[in-house]
Formats: sequence, C-alpha cells, structure tokens
Amino acid sequence: MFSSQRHLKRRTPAQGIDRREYIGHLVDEYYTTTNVEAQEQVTANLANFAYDPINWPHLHAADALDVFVASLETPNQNLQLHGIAALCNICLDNKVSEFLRDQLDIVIGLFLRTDHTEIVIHSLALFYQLLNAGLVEKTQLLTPAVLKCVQEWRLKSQDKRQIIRRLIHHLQQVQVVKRFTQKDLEEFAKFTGDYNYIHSKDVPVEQRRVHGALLNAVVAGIIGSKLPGPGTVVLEQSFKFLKPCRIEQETVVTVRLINARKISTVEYDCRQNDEVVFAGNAKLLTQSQSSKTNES
Amino acid sequence: MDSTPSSSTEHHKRLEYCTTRLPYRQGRELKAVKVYTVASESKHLLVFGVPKIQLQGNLKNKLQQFVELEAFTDVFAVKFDRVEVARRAKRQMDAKQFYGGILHISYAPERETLQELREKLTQRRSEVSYRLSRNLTETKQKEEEEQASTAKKCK
Repeated sequence: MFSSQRHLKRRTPAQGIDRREYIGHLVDEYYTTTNVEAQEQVTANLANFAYDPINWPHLHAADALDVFVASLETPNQNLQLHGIAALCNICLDNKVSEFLRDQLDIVIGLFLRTDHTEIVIHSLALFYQLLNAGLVEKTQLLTPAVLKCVQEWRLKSQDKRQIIRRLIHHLQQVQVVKRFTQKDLEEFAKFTGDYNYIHSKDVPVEQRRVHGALLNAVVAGIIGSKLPGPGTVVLEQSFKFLKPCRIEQETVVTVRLINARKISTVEYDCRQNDEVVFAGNAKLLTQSQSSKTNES
Repeated sequence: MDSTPSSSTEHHKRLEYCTTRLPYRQGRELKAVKVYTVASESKHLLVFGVPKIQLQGNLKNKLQQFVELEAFTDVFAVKFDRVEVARRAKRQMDAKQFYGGILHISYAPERETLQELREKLTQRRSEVSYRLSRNLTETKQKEEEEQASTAKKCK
C-alpha cells in the first residue's frame, strides 16, 4: 500500500519518531544486533517499506541498500529472501537500478544457487522489471547459466507459476547429437518387432538405414523432456523421410518451438552431413493445459 | 478446474505472529514476519477456514466486489477486478471471525493468467511512477508553504 507525506504525519504519534528516523533505527539494529531473529524482522520490515516509493529517499539516506545486498550474501535463507524481496520492490528507483547494474553478479549468484522457491519468484520479478524498463542489458542479465536455471526451475516446479514460463520463450530451440549404432537398431527391432531386413546386417552398412520410427522416437524424447518438456502431449504429427538415415554417423536432431500458445507447434529435423534426412512438425498440448484435460 | 498440488500451497501456510519485536518497532497489531513484492500480491485470493456449512451466500455478501467465487475443496478462490480491491479485502477480512471460524486469506498469484501477470507488472510500474511524481509535488508544495510562512513572519 502507498502513503502520502500527510498520511504519514497523521499516523505518527506526537511523541513518536518519524519515518526517516525509524528506518535509520532499523538499519542500525541490523548491524548492531546479535540476534538473528531480530535481523530477520528488521530486514522484512525494510523490504516492505521498499514497496512504497515514499520511503525510497529514507532508505537511501540510511544506506538500506547495503543491508539488502549484505543479506543476499549471508547463509541465512530468510535474510536472503528479505534482501531479494527488498530489491524487487525498490528496483524501479533510478539510483537503485544503477547500483544493481554493478552488483548484478551477487543477485544472479543467489538466483543460481538457491533452492528456495520464494527467492526464485522475487528474483524473476526483479529481472523482469529491470529488463522491461530497459534498466539493464539483456546480454548482461540473461547469461546462458541464468537461462538454463530458469528452464530447470520450470521443469522442477509442480507449482505452475507463470512468471517462470514468461522467461522460457527465450529458449526456442534444442539440439541433440546422436550416433545410431547397429546395436540400437537390433534392440529397437527386438522391442518393436520390426525385423525389416533394411535395418539389419543382411544389407551392407552403406545401404542400411535407421528405423524411421526410431528417428521419430528421438524427436519425441526431446519434446517430452526438453522443449517444451515434461507434461507435453503430442496431438498431431506429420513428417517425411527425405533420405535414408545411416548408422555410425553424427546425426543432429533439432526441435524448434514455433508457437508457444495453448496448443504449441514445433518443427523438427534430423540432419546427417548437413543434409536433412527426416523432417516434420507437430501440434502439442503443453503442461498446464494437459493436466486440465486429464482432470475433466 | 485444476487441483493445486500440495507443494504449491506452501506459500499459503499461515505464519506465526511475531511476538519478539523490540518495543520501538512493535506496532499496535501483531504481525507475522513476511515480505511482499509485486510477485506476491494478486487480484486472486484464497479464503481458508470457512466453516463447512451453506455459507456461499453469506460469503458472497461479505466479498461485495467479487467477480468469481467457486468452492475449492473447503477453500474458496476469489478473483477481484483489481489488485487494490483484493488488498483491501485481505486486510479487512484476514484473521477475522466468520460464523465460528477464523478466516485466513492469502494471495494466490499462481492462479493468474499470463495476461493478468503482465498487466500486474505493468501496473506496478505505472503506480510507482505516479507515486514518485505525487510525492515530488507534495514535497514542493510543503516547501513553498514553509517559505511563505517564514516570509510572513519576517514581515
């Protein structure tokens, strides 16, 4: 909630201390107390003050920013949480965004190593606000490590927090390199009953080809575990086998996310020696929608 | 309607009131130690602790500016038009008695659609910019008033 100066004046009792002094006391207590719980209480207090811009000059005057950053670097999860929430609340202040550009490593560091979902949520909200307001460069903030971490959280979370998904659209493509061996073909034949001689030792290796269904299965594996990931249900597929896929050759399997909507579309292909051997597209039902279907 | 798995109800747990605050920072009401950011607030609320009797009508009257109300096991999910209304409702009704039970109200940002989330973040940005300009004009006004009154005194 927000306050005006007049409102604050009315709320302060005649003998009471004003807001600026109060914030100063909180910061002092953070540094002077030996009681961890007291530190947690004052940091939470300061973080909530950071929500209202009327307090920003007071927080600056009291050097509260240093308290927030110090909290991020402690091993105490509650202090870390309060620190990141405070930064998330105050990040739209000009001085703070400047400050954050230099301290970005500390914030990113916490985000990468934490296992606390609330810390992740506030970090993501912080990142979003900074990027959205153009206060930080995409390249500076969205490092491969950060993007990978966001993807991992998305996969880990049962809690369907949409804010994680928002940043995922940066990951539009997944590539996997596979090398099919004769053993793969024999096991696949055994499992499926497809003993077609074109996949077997009855033909010379230059004429032998990988089962088409196996190629599709590898693509399905990427769709189901990486992009879009677990929970995805394939609705429709169409594909073409353009060239025979040979064994003992490097095969690059690519899945590209074309459309991340209620029903997503992906395109995929397999290449050997830069030639496309298998290509297709699919319509998919992604995680949040597919669970609804199961329940009804 | 999707069921929320138990892990996602972690943030809906009612925390203990903090009783060990130093006197100078103990307010009139007891509060838990909890932080809120734009990510925590939402126009979606969950209302826990509603006694299991036909109270849907009474609850509706209570939540006057509701938009949608649905029975959700023994928890009610409410969606307001705007976050400020949800904030006010939460403030007014949280920890209050209700037909023999005590209500526990919690924001439920996980129930937002992507569009609602986007709007919420945009709204935060415009609210901040509005508050900054208002605070600035208020400060200027105050300074002008003070200058005017000291000028008067000098005369």
